[in-house]
Amino acid sequence: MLLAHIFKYLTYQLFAPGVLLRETYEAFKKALESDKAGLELIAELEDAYHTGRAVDLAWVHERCVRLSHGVKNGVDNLIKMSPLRHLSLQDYFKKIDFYVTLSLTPLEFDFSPPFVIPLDELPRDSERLAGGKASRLARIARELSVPVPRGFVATSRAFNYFCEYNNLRPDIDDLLARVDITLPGQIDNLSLKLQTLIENATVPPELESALRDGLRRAGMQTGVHHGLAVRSSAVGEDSELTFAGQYKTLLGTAAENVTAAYKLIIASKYSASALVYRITNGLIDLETPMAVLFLEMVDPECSGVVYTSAPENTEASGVSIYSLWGLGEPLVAGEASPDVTLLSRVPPCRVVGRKRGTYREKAVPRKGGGVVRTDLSDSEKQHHSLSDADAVRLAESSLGIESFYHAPQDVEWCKNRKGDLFILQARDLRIPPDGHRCNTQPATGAYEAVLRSGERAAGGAGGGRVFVYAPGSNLDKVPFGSVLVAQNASPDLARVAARMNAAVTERGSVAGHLASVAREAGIPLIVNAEKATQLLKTGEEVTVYADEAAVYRGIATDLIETCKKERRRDMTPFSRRFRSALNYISPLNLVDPAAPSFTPEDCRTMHDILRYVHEKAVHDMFVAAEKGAGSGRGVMRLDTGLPLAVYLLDLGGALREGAQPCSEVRLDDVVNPALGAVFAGMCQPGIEWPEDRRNLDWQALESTGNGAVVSLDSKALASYVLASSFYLNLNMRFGYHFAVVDVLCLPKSGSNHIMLRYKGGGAEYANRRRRVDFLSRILTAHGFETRVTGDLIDAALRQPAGGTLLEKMKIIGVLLGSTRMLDMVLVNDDAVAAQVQRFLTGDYRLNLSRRVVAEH
Amino acid sequence: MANIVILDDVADAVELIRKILSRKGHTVTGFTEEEEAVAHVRANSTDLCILDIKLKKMSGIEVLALLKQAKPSIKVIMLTGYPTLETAREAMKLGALEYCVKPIEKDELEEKVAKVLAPDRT
Repeated sequence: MLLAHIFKYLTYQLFAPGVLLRETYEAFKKALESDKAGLELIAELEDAYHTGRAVDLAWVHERCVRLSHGVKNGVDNLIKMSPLRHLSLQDYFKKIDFYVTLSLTPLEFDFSPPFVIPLDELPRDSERLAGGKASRLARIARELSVPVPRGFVATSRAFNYFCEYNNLRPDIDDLLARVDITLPGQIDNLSLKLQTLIENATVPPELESALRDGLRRAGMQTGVHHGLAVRSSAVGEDSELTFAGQYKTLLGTAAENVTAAYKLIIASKYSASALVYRITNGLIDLETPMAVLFLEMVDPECSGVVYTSAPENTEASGVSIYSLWGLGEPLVAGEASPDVTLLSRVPPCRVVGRKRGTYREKAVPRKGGGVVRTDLSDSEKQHHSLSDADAVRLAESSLGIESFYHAPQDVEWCKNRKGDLFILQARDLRIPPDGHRCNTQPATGAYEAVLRSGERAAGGAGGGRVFVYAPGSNLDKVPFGSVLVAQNASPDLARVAARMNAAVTERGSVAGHLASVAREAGIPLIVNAEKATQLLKTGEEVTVYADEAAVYRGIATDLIETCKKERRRDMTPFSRRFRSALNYISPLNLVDPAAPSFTPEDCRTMHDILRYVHEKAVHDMFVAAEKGAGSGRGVMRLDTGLPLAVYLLDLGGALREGAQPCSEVRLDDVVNPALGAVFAGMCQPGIEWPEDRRNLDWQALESTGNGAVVSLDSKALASYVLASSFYLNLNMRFGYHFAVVDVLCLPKSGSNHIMLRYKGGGAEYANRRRRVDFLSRILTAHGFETRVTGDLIDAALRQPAGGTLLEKMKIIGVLLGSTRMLDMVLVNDDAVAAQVQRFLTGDYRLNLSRRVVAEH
Repeated sequence: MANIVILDDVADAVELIRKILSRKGHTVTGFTEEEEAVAHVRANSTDLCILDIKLKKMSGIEVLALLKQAKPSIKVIMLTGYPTLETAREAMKLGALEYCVKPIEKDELEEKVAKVLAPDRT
């Protein structure tokens, strides 16, 4: 690389034969490179946190590991430069690095036995051991004597052991770190790799024999006529978040296939929709290990779901039972519109309403495993699937569970051919205090209804362009902000929940899995809307008003606004860990290099350490050069005519011929054209400088609050220039921080460049963002490629022609000269736009009231 | 103000922490021997123990287990120059409230102690 050769040349020109000084310079450059890489990573992390980007904790962890390596590299190189100074920095780095790791590492991780426990032997509080579904089922069976099928659970520790035995964690984390749920196609690809990892792994012999033992202990090794239902019971499932329908369930599994079924269920932890659901809801992979529930399969006459309260609000106080002939699978999968029985809640419960479903098929266990669809018999076609007497028994049993858990319940049940009722699952119906519906009743008379049928499964209003989804087609094609229209209310659609403003399905029910997820995510959903996929056309703009099960033409902004609810962004396990780690990464405490507290002992974050390394590396480089140059060429104070302390290290040929190297040189003596141009920019009319440099108040700029005015004669607040005749590296004090400008200006070189980098400072995040936004807009307008990540800006102009290069350096000078006061001007986004406008017309005056100037 | 016990195998470290916390008004008793510290806690009212992990005969984790056995409500801060995720996991599992890494500065120590002693700390 040409640039590398130039550096080498400069290094040898300046320092040969002073090997020690040369090595110092090499270490200095490496320290600055670490600073650059480290600041980029910090900015990326801050940006992800502040924008609520949906990433896995492994993504954060991977970046923190890279940051740790970068910061360590910086520390090592600083110590290489000045071996006897800064030694304690290593200890503080190790300490902060450990705190970051500790913040990101779940502390509970158990992979010791028991691997399998019969359902009736599960301890009382076994959610972490057996997952949400199994622990609740065992509890209601034991404490309420509710009938449940025989069964056992493979524990979450068995899952952890499976991963440890196969050493899967590094590969899992590597794949999870790459998940970006906004990239089309990517999630399917990564999900497939993750599931393949699990499916190709070996079930440890201890676990395999434990599964057989589980069958024996639950009395299921023989005489299980209809096979097993094998269901996920992950930690965190069926609790605060339902994970409804996101994991796999296998029905009709033969007892000899438990091991293979086990693997399929745990692999579904990484199905595309489960991944998106978990990451979007801020849960952590290691904290949601998968336990697996094995239940004896019941050959059902009928099955269904009980809601002990309307899911939208508790005031509609009836119990609703959704039922159909055969297995309940078509109901929860949103493929069937079931029979509905409404009951009063007041004991003794009585049936107050009935509605026949529209389904024509039923699902039944197939001999040899699996499920098969068959037509309803004539009798089934004519009769409601649930008798009044059974409805009352189910309602009373479910209200007992509600009373036990002190919360409305969503209960899955089935009835065998002998007439016995079984409870298969019970989870809390999460109903927000103000329900999901619109707070006020909006007037809708003025809107033209395109569709008016179906039922509200999740309330509210949302508008957007229709996307009619054809079963089996690619969900990644659903655009952001869509109104999704589909035949079935399939739980798979939840995978694109973030892209939907609303959804309408032709089938399904309030009790389906998609309905649960839509209510959790606040997406208005109408189910059972007849002919929706024919009446609504892809691309047309509509507004879905789920409360009235209506779809209107166009975007009814006022209706949407009326129904809009502030969705509270609660802290999630992910955001809590992320924030905790960021506390040791992001804040900058070392703002003032002249302060006595600018020491390794005062470093509290990775940012502090990087800041310390950059400041001291520049300082120590100049001290080393001052001591080591000897020949007269070396460090000089540069008189720029501005109230700034600037030190110049001549890398060779920076001064004009005949100029006498001495302790102070004038700008006129420097021949590097880029340096001349940058200071010419700083002197442009409109840029104000105080008369006396000792009164330049960096503290005010950084808004750190103690108001001290410091002397700029101090080297601690100086700017530093390394220059040859054609190369310039400017560490320009920009507030308390350096803006780094790197310029190559050979007379006839296609590799010339200008690069500028600046990050943050000590001001509020919003101020820092506006500052880089301003810089980015100006530089972009001047042809720079700019990249803004959080409050970090990197700008580059490659191969500018000679005249252009100097012109652009002048602009950089203007920016550096103005930015001192920018925070006082850029008080909001409008002010940024206005100031950009002025700058681009060549008016560099800041729109700063005299009063503000006087105060500062 | 609280009764605080410090256990570290280095007498100077004990003394330094004792001075810092005494200035805050706490009654601080320091030990370098494990048995003496455990005996003291068993016999005297103690709100908080600050335990080093590398000790003379036992590990700080073992001492933590003994103290929690004797007085389950006692609050404990672990302090170590050799942090590992394993000892952190073990310490938290046994009921330590903080896991601090040396070198620890005065303000960090004061802040952690205040946080642990705060009445709403569960």
